[in-house]
Amino acid sequence: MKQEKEVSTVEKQIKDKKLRFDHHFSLKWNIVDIIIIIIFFVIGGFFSIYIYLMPTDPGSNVNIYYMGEELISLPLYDEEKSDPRYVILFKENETSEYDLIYQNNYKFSNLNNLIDDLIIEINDGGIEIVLETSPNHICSNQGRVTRPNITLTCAPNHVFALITSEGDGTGDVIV
Amino acid sequence: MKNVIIKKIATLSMFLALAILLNYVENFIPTFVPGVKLGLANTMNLIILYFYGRREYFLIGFLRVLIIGLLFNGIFSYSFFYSLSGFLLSCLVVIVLSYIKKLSIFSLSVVSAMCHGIGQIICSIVLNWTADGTSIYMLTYLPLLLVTGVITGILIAYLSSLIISRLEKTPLFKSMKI
Repeated sequence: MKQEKEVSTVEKQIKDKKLRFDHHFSLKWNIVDIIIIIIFFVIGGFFSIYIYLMPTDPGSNVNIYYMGEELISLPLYDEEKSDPRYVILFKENETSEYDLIYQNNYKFSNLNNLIDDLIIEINDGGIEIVLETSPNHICSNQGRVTRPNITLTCAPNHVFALITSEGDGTGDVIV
Repeated sequence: MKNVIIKKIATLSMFLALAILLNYVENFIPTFVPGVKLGLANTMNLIILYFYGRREYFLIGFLRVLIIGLLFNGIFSYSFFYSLSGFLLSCLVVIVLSYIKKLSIFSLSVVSAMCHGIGQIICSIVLNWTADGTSIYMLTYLPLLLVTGVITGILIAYLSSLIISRLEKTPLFKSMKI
């Protein structure tokens, strides 16, 4: 008797579509999918080419940010110091540990939210993260950035750097 | 009735465990764009959405982000917020789009992959917000994410559709097909 009651409850719920095996999408391509995919691909492709490949003003400054605060703004080409130059961010106290390898440096200490010490290289009109600790080294794997307004981001360390050009009004402070 | 619920909980737990495993494993798979992942764990989410529904899709996805945060990145760390923001945006958009019956797994997967990236960029801009608004330049990653989202989305959709078509033939899912 109890079993019969249970079965009838399940059947009722099936009829009420509560337990119906209802799929929310199909597994086959259709024309709408193709249109959507082409639109996104074309938009993404167009802006990627525009941002990464089209000619742009030459960069003039490098701004480096940590936790949303600007740490330093340096000229991309420095007449007083020869390239390569390095910005060294220490997690704890400043040391001379990197001085022999990374010369012409600017040092910042006690940046406690870094995973570990981080070094950014400024060389020949480009910037690159050359030393960092992050999952799979995604920060240093970005390689060199030479174009203005493309961020060199190291999210796990809360650091990003940006080359700006004179015309855009973001790089007018030089330390 | 009780059996159906137990079976459902057990199967969803299995999918959750697989999603966590795939999330971990894909860290070792190199991609041609730094920071871009294949999104293998999304295969499990799409399977759950197909067989179970929107509520389960959200719940298992959210639990995955939470458990990965607890196990690997640390809960309430920046990485956790990146994952959470990517998940929430992609989940929201996929749930809305799943009401449009004309869309297939391919559209949903592509949109999901792109929204995951967009959510992470928005999170990155907010968390690194500068007084002069310079962090907005992180949007320059967006077009690249659209392109990679299309490619990885199609791959993941194809993989998921293969798994789903095989799972449909198994006794477990046949018996669910009431």
